[in-house]
Amino acid sequence: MSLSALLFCLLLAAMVAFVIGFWRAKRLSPDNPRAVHSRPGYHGGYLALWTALPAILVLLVWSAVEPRFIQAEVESNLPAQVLEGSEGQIGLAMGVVRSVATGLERLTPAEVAAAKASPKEAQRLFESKGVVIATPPNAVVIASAEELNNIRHLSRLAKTAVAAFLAIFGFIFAFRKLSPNLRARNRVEQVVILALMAASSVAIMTTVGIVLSVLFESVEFFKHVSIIDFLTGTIWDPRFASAGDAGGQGQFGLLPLMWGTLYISIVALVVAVPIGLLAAIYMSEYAHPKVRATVKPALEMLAGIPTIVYGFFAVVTVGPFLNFVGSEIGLVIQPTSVLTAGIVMGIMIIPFVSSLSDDIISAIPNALREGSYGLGATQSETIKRVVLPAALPGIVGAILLAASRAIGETMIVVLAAGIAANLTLNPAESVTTITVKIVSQLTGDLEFNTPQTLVAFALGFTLFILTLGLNVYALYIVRKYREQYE
Amino acid sequence: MVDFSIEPGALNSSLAAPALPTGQPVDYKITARNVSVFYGEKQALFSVGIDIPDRSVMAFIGPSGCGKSTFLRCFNRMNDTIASARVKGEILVQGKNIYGPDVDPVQVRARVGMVFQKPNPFPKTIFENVAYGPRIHGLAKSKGDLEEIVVKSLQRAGLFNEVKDRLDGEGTGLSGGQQQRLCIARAIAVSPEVILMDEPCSALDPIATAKIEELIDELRENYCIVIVTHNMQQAARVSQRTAFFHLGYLVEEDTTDQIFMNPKDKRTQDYITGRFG
Ligand SMILES: Nc1ncnc2c1ncn2[C@@H]1O[C@H](COP(=O)(O)OP(=O)(O)O)[C@@H](O)[C@H]1O
Ligand SMILES: [Mg+2]
Repeated sequence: MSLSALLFCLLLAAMVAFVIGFWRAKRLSPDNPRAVHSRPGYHGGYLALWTALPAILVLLVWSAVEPRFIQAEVESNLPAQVLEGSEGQIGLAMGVVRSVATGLERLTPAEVAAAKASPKEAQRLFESKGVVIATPPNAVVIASAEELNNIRHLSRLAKTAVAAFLAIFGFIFAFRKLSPNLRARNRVEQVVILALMAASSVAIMTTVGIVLSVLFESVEFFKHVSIIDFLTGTIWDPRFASAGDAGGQGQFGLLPLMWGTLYISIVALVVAVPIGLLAAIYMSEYAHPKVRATVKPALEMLAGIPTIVYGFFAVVTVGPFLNFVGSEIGLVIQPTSVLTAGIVMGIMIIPFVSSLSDDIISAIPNALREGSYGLGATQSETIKRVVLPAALPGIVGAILLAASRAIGETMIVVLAAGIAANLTLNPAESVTTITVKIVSQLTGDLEFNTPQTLVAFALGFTLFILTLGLNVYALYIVRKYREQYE
Repeated sequence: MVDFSIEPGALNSSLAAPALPTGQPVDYKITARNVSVFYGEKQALFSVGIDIPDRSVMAFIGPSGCGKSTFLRCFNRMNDTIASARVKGEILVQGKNIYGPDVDPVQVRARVGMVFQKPNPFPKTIFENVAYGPRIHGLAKSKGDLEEIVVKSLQRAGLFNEVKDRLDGEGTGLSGGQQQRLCIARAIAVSPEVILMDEPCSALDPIATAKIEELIDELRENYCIVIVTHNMQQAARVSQRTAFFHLGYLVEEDTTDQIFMNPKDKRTQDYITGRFG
């Protein structure tokens, strides 16, 4: 049976085991259900877990390591002249063998015989079954493929047998343990906790994996370009070395990109912080609960708009509009500029500021407001002098989180910021950002071995450090602030 | 203006207040007539009337939920901050109806200070906590003025000696009892005529409680104080008059001695002897 069919059967078996366990537990002490340590559902779960879990785990591990073993086995039987070739050639040969193996599965015995007789015929037959092979497969290749199929077949049989054995054995083992004293609940909950731990470690391991892979590629880049030049360089000019062009590898100065990133983020914050904060004050202090219940989700919906759509908005509406306004008042505002990207990005991060600040302001204990009202303060005095100062650390945290969003934002700046790596103070000119350059360095069909492509990882790592630092700091502030009121 | 209609179980206080020396006109700081409070549809207070003399302590006692806090919060229009609350009737503070059409609740609260159940100092320095009220009302002409008000208020609240070296320390860093005295100093700093206290000691330990009670006794010389308390001994210790509430009605109001030694109503008797509540 195939892996998915096996898993399906095991799940079915688990369900049956659950019902049996449930039923059995009910009968353990029919007169006095309290004499049974665990509720029937836990007995059912206990039986189901013992039935399915060991088999599933073994199956998964088996399926994960199986291809390597089979590959090694088939590879060792390849003709000597292939094995003498480079790693790439062996890989190529194995690829052909695998395709042929797939093709063979789809042929009738008569066709198999025909295929073995003539490589050309074999190629034609495979193609008619939807398997395209570059070179006509000779007898040696077909033999290897047959071997591959045989091993696979055997492995599958063995898997089925092992799974069946484990399921039956697990069931019998657990069934005999069912008794009023069995701590079924504790056992089942242990498994549940393990599952929860596994789920949370997936996220952490992934993060660690991503960081490590980016880090290694960055290290690779710094073998080509010195880290000092990268961090302090003011010129970004990563010439793509065309074939035969030995004239250097260009310049990889981070500063223009860093400046563009920060400049646009600052403009975004200048837009988002006042609007978001005022909206938060309105929602938490003045709005009727019903109004708040609609306005808040509506604002949060802004955060759900795909950023590429904001990008369109920037290019199609905001850019031309600013350009027009600029020409009316005698300023040259380029359609892609710091202003365009910053304003649109600011709109994008308004909900981050407003929603979080609203939560924080709402969390200020009402006792503080009453204390202020009790002294004859008006509502606006209370907000300005008591509520906002008390909420300030939390609001700063919210702003930092929004800033880290802005710094890592890609699509808006790709469309609206421009691609020229300028070091300029003029917000009407276009600049470029780290994210834009990562995109442009990696677009196309590339191999990751030149500084021109590897630099993307160094940029990514820089960005990661920047946003991670901001996030950690922001969360630290927000948490410290929370503790104050708990 | 005096309303003689008597609600079931409510004893009109103006008829049963023989405690003060007769012959002289009685100086009532607060006069409430026919005060009813609703939270949405639910009525929490039923046509309550009371007279509260100046320079004395009036205690509100009664089982939980009987409307003591609700009534207390009428005196500084604090109920206005609750959207669902509606107040009917009239309350005169120094002869002026604070529920009159031309009255701004914010001004009322500057005249009638309040101390809450849980100490609620602002997350500011001790100095700034006390200076808060004077600042928003512009009571101090100069920095020196402000400092004087703060120091005086802290002194009156009996806190100055304990905090004089750390006026710029956080108010929230004080102990519970100190925080409550800081809140009292904060209230005193705007020179109110009345101080309302809603179970000011319920979150404090016995020693801190004793200090606050002592303080209340001193403040009585200058202010009209209304205190809600769950603690009968406290009412007996600090107050001159006591009002007993039950299920939203004012059952009985009299001198504290009278209420505790010789209550007229069966429900008051039951309550102070601990039979319910
Ligand atoms: N904000 C409010 N909204 C609705 N009902 C309230 C509110 N505050 C108090 N109440 C109700 O009013 C009644 C009196 O409450 P309260 O004055 O707090 O009683 P006490 O202070 O004597 O314990 C209670 O039944 C209470 O449930
Ligand atoms: Mg109360």
